[in-house]
Amino acid sequence: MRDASARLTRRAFLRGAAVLSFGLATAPRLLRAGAAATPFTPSALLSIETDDTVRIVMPHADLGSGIYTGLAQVLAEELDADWERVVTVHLDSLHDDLKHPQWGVIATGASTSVASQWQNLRETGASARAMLVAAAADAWGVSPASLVTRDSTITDPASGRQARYGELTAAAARRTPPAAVTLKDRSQFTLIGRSLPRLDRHTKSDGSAVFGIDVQLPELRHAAIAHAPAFGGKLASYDGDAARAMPDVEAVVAIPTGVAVVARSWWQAKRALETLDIRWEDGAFAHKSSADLWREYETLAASDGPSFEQRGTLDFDAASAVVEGEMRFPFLAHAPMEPLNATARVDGERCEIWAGTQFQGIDVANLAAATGIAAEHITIHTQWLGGSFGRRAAPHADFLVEAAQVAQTSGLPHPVKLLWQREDDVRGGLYRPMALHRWKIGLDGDGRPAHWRHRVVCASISKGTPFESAFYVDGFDRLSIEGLIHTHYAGSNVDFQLHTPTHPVSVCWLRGEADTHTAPVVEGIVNRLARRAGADPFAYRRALLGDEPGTARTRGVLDALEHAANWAEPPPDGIFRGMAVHTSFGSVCGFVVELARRDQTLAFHKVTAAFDCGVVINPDAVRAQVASSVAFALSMALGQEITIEQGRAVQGNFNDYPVATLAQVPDVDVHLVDTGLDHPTGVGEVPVSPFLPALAAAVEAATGREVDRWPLRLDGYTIANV
Amino acid sequence: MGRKLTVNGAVHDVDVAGDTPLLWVLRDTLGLTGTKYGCGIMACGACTVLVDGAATRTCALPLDAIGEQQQVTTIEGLAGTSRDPVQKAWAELSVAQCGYCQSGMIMSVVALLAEHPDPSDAQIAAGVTNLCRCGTYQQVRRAIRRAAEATRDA
Ligand code: FES
Ligand code: FES
Repeated sequence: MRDASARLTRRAFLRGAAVLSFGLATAPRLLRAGAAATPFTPSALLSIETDDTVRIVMPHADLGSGIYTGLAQVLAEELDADWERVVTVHLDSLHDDLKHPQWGVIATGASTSVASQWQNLRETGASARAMLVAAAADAWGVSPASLVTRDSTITDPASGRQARYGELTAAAARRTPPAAVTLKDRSQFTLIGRSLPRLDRHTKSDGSAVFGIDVQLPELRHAAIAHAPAFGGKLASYDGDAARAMPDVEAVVAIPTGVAVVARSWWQAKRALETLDIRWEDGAFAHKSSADLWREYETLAASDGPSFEQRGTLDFDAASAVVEGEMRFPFLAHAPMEPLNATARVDGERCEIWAGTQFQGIDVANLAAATGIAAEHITIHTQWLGGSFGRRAAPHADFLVEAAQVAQTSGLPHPVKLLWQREDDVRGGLYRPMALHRWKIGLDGDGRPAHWRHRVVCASISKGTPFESAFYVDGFDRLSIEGLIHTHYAGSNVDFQLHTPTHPVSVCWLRGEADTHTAPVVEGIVNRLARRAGADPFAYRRALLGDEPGTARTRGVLDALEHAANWAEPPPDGIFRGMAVHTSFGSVCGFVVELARRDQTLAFHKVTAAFDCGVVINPDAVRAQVASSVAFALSMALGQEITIEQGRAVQGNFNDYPVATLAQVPDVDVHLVDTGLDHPTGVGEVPVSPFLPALAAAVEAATGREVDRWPLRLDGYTIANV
Repeated sequence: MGRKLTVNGAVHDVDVAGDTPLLWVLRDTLGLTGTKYGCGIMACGACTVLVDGAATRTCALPLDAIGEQQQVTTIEGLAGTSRDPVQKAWAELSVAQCGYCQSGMIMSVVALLAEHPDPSDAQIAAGVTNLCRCGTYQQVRRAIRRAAEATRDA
């Protein structure tokens, strides 16, 4: 049954008895003694227990997209595990088996979790299966090839004998792992491709899921913190005497990034914090506002910068027409629903952290540097996290480091849970960078871009972080230009330039990353050029894309989208529509947005999506990601922006940094497109970016006015309740 | 010093300052952490519980505002995903993504369905103003419909 393409395992990951000896930090001791009680733990990722439980340690954080379920489906598929007995557990160690297969460190990001683990988890499952089968074959004196596996049971069809995986753990653990395994053909999948309900559906519906903020430990103390209000500011002095005298307050400490109060309850810590007399020393940036930043950005955009993509010769005089434009994007805060927090216990030589984080492998290095404690003496206990969108992938591990520093500086022997207020998060930086795009495009006789000069002004996300070398390519931060560089729409003469201003407002990846500005720009340009040429936007795109193999998936999505949205039919009276398609994180996603309009109020009529993310592990989960990405993108599109006054973020909470509501967010008709890829590609972030230009195109169709800045609120637009 | 507070049918003696928000009494004093902190300014609904059956945000609601006779119900006080129709629908449709907003979301929906067993779209939109940063609203709407049907059929 197994297909013929035997593959070498990614590495000789099974090391027999040596592996068993360290086991998993979390592996329960199921039975007290005897070989029969031995769980089969062929990897730090996987443990099969004598009661048939298949325990899979999650090498990535589930930020909400459901990857715990998806990753388990992938491994369980090749293991032929009984899905009812599969449980997932948070990672609790930094074992090599848990490292990101491409990045070489334990981390979650860039919508890579399922795509990057695809091969690894399948091999892990197939290898374990082979060892179980070999154990049974030995016991029964038959050839392994004659045995079949299903639902954690091995059957010998000839004799009818059966054994459960749980009965074979000890024997399997003594086997030598195979040097090569045979993976299933797609046609053999029974778990991959099925809309299995999420494994976390019960604990996340009954309040029992433990998020970082919920961690309970003996003698737990709680901390609240005040940060410098101005970017680039720092602590000058503070008087904590009044706070120290308050009941239940146990410490008031200064750490490099602020002043914290530790008390017996968080509310008491917060109240005491408010009594502190703190003097901050504002830096030079405290005179700056968003208007100043935009002026600096405009000045940069008016002159040439270094080119990250250049070919041919720009000659606007040779063009039959020239169009110019710009688009601007504000700072955006992630504002995950669970405010940032971490619990730390620091005693002399060791540091223990409980937190929801995307970056365990990197956090440990940051924690070691900040506390002086050796990395091997630092443990991170991963918890559920209440959203992240990139914020809990903090390059300098800010909230974790603060918790450790507060615990360490306070000198208390107790664990301390540091919880930021919502305002600490919204005002605290690490924003999606503000960005200004300006372009000048010379058209050929068919209205296609023949000469394209483009300038991006955007601060670098990776500069000065551990990721600088990974993301700087040829001197440019790819996190500023991804989604624009190498666009298939450009003709033979291009000059794409990047200005990289610096300012103390820190910037970070946010769901969708650079594509959240490059997609609205590139797709917005193409929509305008199509309109100018009097062309249908689908047909115009096809003409630009040609039939290069590199654009095949985009063309496939265009076809599916056009059909699904019934684009050939003109929209009903009073309905205006727009479309866009964009490639990011290895996947292609397109939207058609249909709107009605009354004055400045827009109402969704219909939203259709087409999505190619390669092999689909769990179709319902992917559809849910597309629909929920629309909600996330709509928040960005409508009302969210962080502005700066006197060097400080103006917005602080959901009252002035609005999240789209149930009443505003439309249903999305999602169509999954299979263009023949044989592996999964990114999901969680991908649909955010293409929704923005599709929405803008519909707004432009409805109003006749071009969208050249975000959020739309700035031009007076609102969305009616659905 | 102490006072009585009835949560999920159990009477507790609580000894905290009367201006402490109910949210923090539930979470830190009683250890009922299913109710969440999201904003602290009554803007997101993560802290929603039922007070005498009415959906109530608790992050800026002082303990003193709750009478000793009043009944507070938190997510822990519902019957669970196999018996409560709302929680059951939530589980069946895998509504939760990160899950953080969902306790408050579910409590709002329990109150909504008690008032409107067959809610219109407008009643759903008006009754469920909880924010979900993950954006699960489409599934929330579907789950409300399913829970409403299950309740009517029961
Ligand atoms: S935490 Fe109470 S409404 Fe947001
Ligand atoms: S499920 Fe994450 S905030 Fe609602």
